[in-house]
Amino acid sequence: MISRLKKRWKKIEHPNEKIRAIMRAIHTDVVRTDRTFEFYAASNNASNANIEALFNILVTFAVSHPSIPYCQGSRHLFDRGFRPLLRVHFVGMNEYASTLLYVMRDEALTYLSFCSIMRRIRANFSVKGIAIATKFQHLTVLLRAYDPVYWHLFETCDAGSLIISFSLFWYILFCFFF
Amino acid sequence: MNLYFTYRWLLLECKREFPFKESLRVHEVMWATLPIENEPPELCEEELIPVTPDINSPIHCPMPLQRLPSDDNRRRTMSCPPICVNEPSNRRKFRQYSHSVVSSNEINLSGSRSSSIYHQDFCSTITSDEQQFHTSIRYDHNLNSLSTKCKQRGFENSYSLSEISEFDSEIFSTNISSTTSSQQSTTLDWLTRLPRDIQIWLLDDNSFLLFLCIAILSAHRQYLFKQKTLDQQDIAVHFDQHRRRHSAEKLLTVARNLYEQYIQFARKQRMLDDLNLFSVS
Repeated sequence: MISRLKKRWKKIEHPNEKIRAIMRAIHTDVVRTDRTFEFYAASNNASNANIEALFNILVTFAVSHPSIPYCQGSRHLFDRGFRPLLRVHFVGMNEYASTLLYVMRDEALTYLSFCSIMRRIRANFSVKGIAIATKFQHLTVLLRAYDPVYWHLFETCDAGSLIISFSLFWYILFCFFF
Repeated sequence: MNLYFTYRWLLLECKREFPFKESLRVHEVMWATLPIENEPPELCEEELIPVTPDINSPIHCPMPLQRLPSDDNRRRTMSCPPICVNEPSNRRKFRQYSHSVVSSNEINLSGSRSSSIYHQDFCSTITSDEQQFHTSIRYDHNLNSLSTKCKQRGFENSYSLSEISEFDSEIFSTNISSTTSSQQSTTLDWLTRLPRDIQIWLLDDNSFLLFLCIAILSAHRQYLFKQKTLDQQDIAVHFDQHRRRHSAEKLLTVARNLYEQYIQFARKQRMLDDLNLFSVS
């Protein structure tokens, strides 16, 4: 089944512009995934078999599940201009897949587990980010209850950072135009 | 105030916060708290990416495709908590349902009017409940047809054992539990600061993750308090510097403790609610 799904996109990758776009996006992610870990480490020229398997899994999933847009993570926050505050790498599904591949060591089995885990967490990757916003809210309530003093520290930081993030916003606009 | 710097923690379930090998352990612990799903995953959605028809036609739908059984289940996979569980009547119904499935002897909760009989019945099921708990019959795949209630049942059952034991120790035997509870009460006052509708916490699709985040945050507490000037950017940078560097062992211990405290508190709360309801009805 999985090899059939794989064959499907392998066959049609060339004429289909959409799939090629997905493949490009995934490729840039995959080569960066857990590079420091020897399982995925690769020299510049020789490609690692594990990286290739990871790539296959992700593309197969993205092609087979068009309703879940392939997500490198933090895209929607990036669009809203939070990128400088976050300072994260683009992270997303590839991280989960790499963990699973390391444990399973088999492309087909990893794909199966990946589908299973994505069913649980697919809401987190939705573009609107409602699920993540709920999690933020839960975490906030929990932190406020657990350690009010600590929470107060964050709150005071926020008061200052409101101005800073605003100025950062203008700074970025400035850089963008000039 | 927003905690945007925790975005990566929440999205990746803290994978990037630990070294790769340790993140495996963290994930194993975290995913062990999640209920087991009986349904196999869907390997492929039904609708395909629109491709040029001449290529698509020979391989259209190569095998019968797996679909999620119902809309209800699909909604359950999103992390918005279903509201119906907050209603006490439904909760009791679920509990009754779970016990009638798990225990071999039939218990009729609605039949036992007086509360004392109710208690006795409750305690008599402990042993049978426990046996069945270990043989894990409830994960039997024959029950797949009841999949919409599976998650509910998973929650109820996984708590039922210690729930009963705590219930038992609190109401029937006062001598042992009173000392331990008084010792614990000093450290547990954070639980009382939680908002009243805490049922939603149990229904967050991964509540252990939240406690792990709290553990990470509190590990950096001292450092952050020492800083004179601090804004959100600094905090984000500070936490970013520590990615892949946290010690899984310590943080997991903290998170486990918090989680345990919370679960016990929620359980007690729910027991009290149920008892109140029962006495009212």
